[in-house]
Amino acid sequence: MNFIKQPHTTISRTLYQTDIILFQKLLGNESSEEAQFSDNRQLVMLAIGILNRTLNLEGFLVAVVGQKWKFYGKVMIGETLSVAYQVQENKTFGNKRYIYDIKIDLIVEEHVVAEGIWGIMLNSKL
Amino acid sequence: MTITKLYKKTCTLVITESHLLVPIIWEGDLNLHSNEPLMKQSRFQNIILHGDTVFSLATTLIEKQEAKFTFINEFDTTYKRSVTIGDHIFVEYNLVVTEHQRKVEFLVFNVDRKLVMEGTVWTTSENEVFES
Repeated sequence: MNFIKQPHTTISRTLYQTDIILFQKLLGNESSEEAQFSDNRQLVMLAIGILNRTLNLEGFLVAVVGQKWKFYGKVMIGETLSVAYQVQENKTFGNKRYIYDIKIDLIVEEHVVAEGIWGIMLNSKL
Repeated sequence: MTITKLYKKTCTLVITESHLLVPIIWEGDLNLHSNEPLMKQSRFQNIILHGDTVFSLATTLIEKQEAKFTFINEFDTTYKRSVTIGDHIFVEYNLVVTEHQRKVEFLVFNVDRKLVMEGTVWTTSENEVFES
């Protein structure tokens, strides 16, 4: 299974003010042009987005089964996010279903600003 | 001192195309989210929202009823069913307020009252960040 793309460059994502404004509009909230840091729910989306650019999940991902996150700091507009990840324990179900926990560190300038577990179900072993 | 509020219910939210498509800016895209012909033949029977989007929308329904979360310190979610455009979702939740933080246990249901997601969110009461 060619699950890991193994990119040659670090995959990162800078946070823009428009990200924050669009997220608040998505939630149906008033415009938040004064907000200078990201909502942590959006940080998780950005972290998963970076992982989706790192891992080749198309054709393998059956479903996401759950997540756990802890947050240690705020991410300000203009800061750039990257992730470190590690595949942890897994369970095997019948009919080609495999659940893996992906441990994620969300990093800004070498500081871990959040830690998460992304539980995913795949149709193939890693 | 602890104040407990037991299982309040939010209003209902109708899922739109914007709820599906806008988060793709941040999360990325897969066939699961945008290939309708393929997904019509899948066990989901339709394209599905990112689970993070359902979580964000569900917790916002709670915020609109209570107060805006200042800072989410931690959360834990388990996904039970998929959500697609046109679905109606609502949340039942239990809010516990302590001196330093709020704990929200929540259940997200669809219009058929089938469980979509369950989880817990911990937030600070004021504009502060808990250090680990």
